[in-house]
Amino acid sequence: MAKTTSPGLRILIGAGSFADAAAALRIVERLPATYRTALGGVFVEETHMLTTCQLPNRRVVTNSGMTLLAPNPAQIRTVLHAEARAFRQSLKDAGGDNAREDLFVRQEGELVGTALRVAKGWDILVVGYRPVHAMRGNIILLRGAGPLSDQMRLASQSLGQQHSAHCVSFRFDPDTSADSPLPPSPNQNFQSLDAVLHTLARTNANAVLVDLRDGPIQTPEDLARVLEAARCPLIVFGASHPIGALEHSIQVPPDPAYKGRMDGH
Amino acid sequence: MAGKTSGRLETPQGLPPKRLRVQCDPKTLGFATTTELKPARGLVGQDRAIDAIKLSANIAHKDFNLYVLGHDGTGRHTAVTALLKEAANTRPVPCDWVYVNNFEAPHLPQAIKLEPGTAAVLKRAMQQLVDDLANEIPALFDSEDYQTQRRAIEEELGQKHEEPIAEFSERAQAENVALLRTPMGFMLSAIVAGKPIKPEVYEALPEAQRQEIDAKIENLQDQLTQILKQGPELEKEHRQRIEELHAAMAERVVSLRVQEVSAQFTDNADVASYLKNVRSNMISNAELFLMSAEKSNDGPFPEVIRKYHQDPQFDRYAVNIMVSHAIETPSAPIVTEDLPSLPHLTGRIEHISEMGTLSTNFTLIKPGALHRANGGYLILDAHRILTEPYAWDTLKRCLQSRAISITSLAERFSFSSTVTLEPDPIPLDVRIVLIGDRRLHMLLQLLDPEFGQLFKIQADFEDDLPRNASNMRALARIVAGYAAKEDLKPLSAAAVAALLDHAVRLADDAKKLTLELGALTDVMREADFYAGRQKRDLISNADIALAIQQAEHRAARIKERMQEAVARKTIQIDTKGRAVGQINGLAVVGIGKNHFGRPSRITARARMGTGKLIDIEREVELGGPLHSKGVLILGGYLASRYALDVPMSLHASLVFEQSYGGIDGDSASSAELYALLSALSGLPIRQGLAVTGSVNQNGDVQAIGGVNDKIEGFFDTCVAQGLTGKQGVLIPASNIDHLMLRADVVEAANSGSFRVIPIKTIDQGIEVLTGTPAGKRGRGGAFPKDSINGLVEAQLRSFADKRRSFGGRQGAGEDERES
Repeated sequence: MAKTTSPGLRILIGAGSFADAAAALRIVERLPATYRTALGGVFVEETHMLTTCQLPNRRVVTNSGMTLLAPNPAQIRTVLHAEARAFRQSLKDAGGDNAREDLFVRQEGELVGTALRVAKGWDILVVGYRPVHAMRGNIILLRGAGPLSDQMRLASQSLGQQHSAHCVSFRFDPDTSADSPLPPSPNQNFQSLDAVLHTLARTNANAVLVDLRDGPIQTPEDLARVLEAARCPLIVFGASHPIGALEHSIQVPPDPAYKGRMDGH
Repeated sequence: MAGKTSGRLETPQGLPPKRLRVQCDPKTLGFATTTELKPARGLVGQDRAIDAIKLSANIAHKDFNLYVLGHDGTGRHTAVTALLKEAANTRPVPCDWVYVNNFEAPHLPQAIKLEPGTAAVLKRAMQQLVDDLANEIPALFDSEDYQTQRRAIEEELGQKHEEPIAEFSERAQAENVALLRTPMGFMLSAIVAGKPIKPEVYEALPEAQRQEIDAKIENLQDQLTQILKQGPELEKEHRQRIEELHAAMAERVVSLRVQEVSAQFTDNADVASYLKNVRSNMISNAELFLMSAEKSNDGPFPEVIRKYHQDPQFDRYAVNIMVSHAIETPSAPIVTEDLPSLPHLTGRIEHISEMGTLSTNFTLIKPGALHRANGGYLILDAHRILTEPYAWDTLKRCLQSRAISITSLAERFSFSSTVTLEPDPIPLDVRIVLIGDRRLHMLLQLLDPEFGQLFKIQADFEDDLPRNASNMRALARIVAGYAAKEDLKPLSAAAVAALLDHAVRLADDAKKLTLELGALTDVMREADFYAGRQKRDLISNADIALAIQQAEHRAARIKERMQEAVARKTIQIDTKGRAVGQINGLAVVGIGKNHFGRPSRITARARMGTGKLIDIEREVELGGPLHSKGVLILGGYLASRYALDVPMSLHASLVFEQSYGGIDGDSASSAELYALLSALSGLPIRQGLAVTGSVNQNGDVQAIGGVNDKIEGFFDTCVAQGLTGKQGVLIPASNIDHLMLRADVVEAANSGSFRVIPIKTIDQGIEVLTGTPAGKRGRGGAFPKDSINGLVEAQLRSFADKRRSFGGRQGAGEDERES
C-alpha cells in the first residue's frame, strides 16, 4: 500500500520560557498558511539557569530594568512548571485541529542543543526568544555562499510582508574580499562568523533564518551564539541535518514522511 | 291659583303646554336642506376662548402658556388646532438641533443648532466623511512612503536599543560572565571552565575570590539595569514618533475631507468648531480607520461601497438628529403628545447591553415632544400629564429654565447604577397648550403656585349660548359644515330643527343651546346611518328623533329596572290617593352622561320633644352636606314661623324611604317641609303630585337642576301606574325657563292628563298638595284655625303645653322625693 505524505512542513518550537515560546509562535503564525502540517514543542529547563539560581544572592534583571531576588530552586521549579503548561496550552491553541498531545516534550539541558536533538525528523526548528523591546526589526537571512533554498526564500518573504519589514541577507563567504561596512544593507557579506555575530548583535532583528545544511553554522554552540547575538527567535531549517556530533535522542515521534525518506520509500 | 270646591281646593291646571317645550320651526331657518348653507367651523359663541387662544399663540413673551378649559365636546381640540395652525403659518421654521460627540468629555454630548433642514445634510456629510477616510487612510498606510518612514524610525530606535545591549554582552563575555535568561528576566553568572559556575564550585572558592566574583556580577548587574531601564523610554519615544508619523500621514487626507464638509456649513461657528475637533480626533486616531479595514466584508457587495460609518467604532463621528424641520412646509411645528410621560416629553437616553453591562453614548439620545415642538406649539392633555410621574414637574422646570434637559426617572430616583450622559440642554422656545377641565384648572390654581406664573392665559370654553335666531342659524351652519366634512348626508330643515331642539335639551335650559357639539355630531352620525339604512339621501327629523330615542334606549336599562320595581311595588310609590306625612320627592340618578329622574317616597313623623329635627339620612351618613343643609333650613323655617312664644317642643324625623345609596342636594327640601307640615297638621297630601325644589328660611321655593329629568321620571311612573288626570309635578317657578320636556309629556299636558305646576312659596305648594288653604296670620297674630298653618301652630303649641305640664309633674315628683 502506497504511503501518503501530507504537504507542508513540520515545525518544532523550542523555548525555555512561555514568553520565548509566545515570540516563536507569533513568528510561526506569520509563516505561509500552507507551510505547516504539524506543530510541536520542546520546553527546555536550562541547566545553567537552574544551577545559577542556587548561588547565594543572585538577582534577576527584568526587561524593564527592575532587579529582583532570584527564585530559589523550589520556586523556579514551580515557575517552570507553570511556564511549560502555558506553552503547551498555547501550542494546542495554535495547532487547532492538528493539535496533538504527544507533540510536546519537556527536557532539562541547554536550550539550543536540546532543541536540536529533539528536532530530528522535523523540518523546521523555531527557537524562541522573548523580545527585549516592541520596535519592529528586520528579517535576517543568515546564509552561506550557496544559493538560497526555496523554503527560506518563501519564509523570509512571508515574514517580511507580514511584519512590513526589510529582509536583510547576511552572507557568510570566507572567500569574499571584505566585510560589508554599512549594515543593514539588503545584502551583506562576511568573512567570519564572529563578524556576522558582531553585526547581528547590533541589528534590530525580528527573526533570523538559518539553514543548517548551507551556512556558517556548524555546531549547536554556533547556533547558541547566533541566538544570543540576535536576541530574537531563530528559524532553523534543516534541523534534521546532522551537525557537529549531535546526540540522537528523539523524544517526539519523527515525521512519517521523513522516516519514509530515510527508509528509501 | 286654585279654585275652591266643597271646602277643598282643586288641583291647579299648571303651565300651558307651550311653556313645557320650546320648538324650533323649520320654516324659520330659511333653508330646505343643509346643502344650501355655507358651512362654518365649530367655533360659534366662543369668542372669549378664541381671543385667549389667539393671544397665547401670537404673543412672543415667555410664560404666556395656555390652559384651555371646558367640557368635553365643546370643540376645544378643534378650535385649538385650527387657531394654532393659523398662528404657526406666520411664524418662522425653527432651527434643527443635533447632538454630536464631545471629544473632550464624551459624557457631555454637545448640542448644535443648525439652519432648518440642514441636520440631515450634516449627518450625511459626516457619514460620507467616515466612509471616504475608511477607504483612503488604509491605502495611505499601505503605501511604500509610509512603510519606509516607519521603518526608518524603528531602525533608528531599535539600533539605539540594541547597541548598548550588544556592547554589554561583549563586556560581560570579556569579564567571563555569562548572560543567562530566565522566565523572569536576565541573570548573570561567572564562567568557570567555559561554563556558568556551579554552586559547589562557588562554595569551594576562597572568600576573596567569591567576593571578587560577586562584585563583578553586581557591577554588571547595575550596568544591565541601567541599559534595560532605557527600554521604556525608548519605547515611549517610539510610540510618540509613530503617532506623529501617523498624524502627519493622516493629516493631509483628513484635512482635505473635513474641509469639504466644512464648506457646506461656512456660516455656523459651532459646526466649524465641531469639525475642527473632528479633524484633530481623526488625525490622532487614524488607527481606527486601519482597524476597520482589517475586518473583511463577507457580504455580496464589493468593499468599495461598504458603509464603514455603521461600524460601532465610528459612532463618535455620528450626528444624532434631535429635530429637523422640512423647509418645504414653512411653518412652526404643532405637536400633540398623547402620552406625555417624562421620557416622551423631554426625550430619553437609551442603553444597550454590552457583555452584560449597560452602556450608552450620545447616539442613543432620543428626542421628546419638547424637542419636536421647540419653536412652535405643544398640545397636551392636562389630566394625562398630571398623572404621569414627574412629567408635570419636569415640564415646569423646562419652561422655567427655557431649556430641555434630559433626566431619566431612574436617575432621579438614583436607581440607575450604570454610565449615563449629561447632554447639553437645548434652549427651549415653545408655547404649551394644556387642555383640561375646570376642576383641574381650579386645583392647579389653588395648589400649584408655579402654575399661575407659567400659564398666564386661560381659554374658557362656553358650555352653551343664547337661543336666538342668529345663534340658531349659526349652529345650523356648523351642522352643515360638519355634515360636509364628515361626508354625512345633508340634513333637512326639519332635521336641523330637531337637532337644535336636542341642543336645547342638552343645555337643560329653554333659552340656551348647548355648545357640546360632540353630542350633537354623535346624533348626526347615527341619524346618517339610519337614513342610509332606509336608502335615503337626506337625513330627516325622524332619523334625528330615532337616533336620540335609540341612544336613550341603550342607556335605559337601569331606568327601566327601577320603573319595573315601582310598578311591582318593590319600591313603594303612590300616584293616587292621599296620605298624611308622605310625599313624592324627585331625584336624578346620574350614570356618566346618562341620567334620569325617579320619584322617592319621603315621609315625616312628629311628636312632642325638645325641638329636635332628625334627618335620618344624615344620621346614617347617607345624606350629603347639601341635603343636611336643606333639612336644617326647613328646621329654621319651622322655628321662625310657628308658635314663636313657646319653646319649640317638636321631635320630628324625615326619611327617604327605600333609599339605599347616598343622597345629596337640597332639591328635596321643599318636599320634606311639605311632608312635615302634613304630619303636624294631620292633613293628607295628594299622592298624584310629586315635588321638587329647595326652600329658604323665608319659605320661598328656589330653583333646582335636572327639572326635565325629574318631571319625565315621575311622568313615566304615573304612566306605568295609570294616568288619572290629577297627576303632576310641583316645580319652582324659577325653573320654568328650563323646561324642555319630551313630546309625550307635553302631549299629556295638552290633553289634561298631566300637569306641571310652578310654585313660588311653601304656602302655595302646601295648598296645592293638601287642597287646604295655608292661611295667613290675622290681626291678632293667629292663623285661621282650619288653615294648614293654623293646624300646624296649634299642634306645636300643644306639644309645648304637654312638655310644660310634663316638666311640672316631673318637678313636683322630685319635690316630693326631696321632702
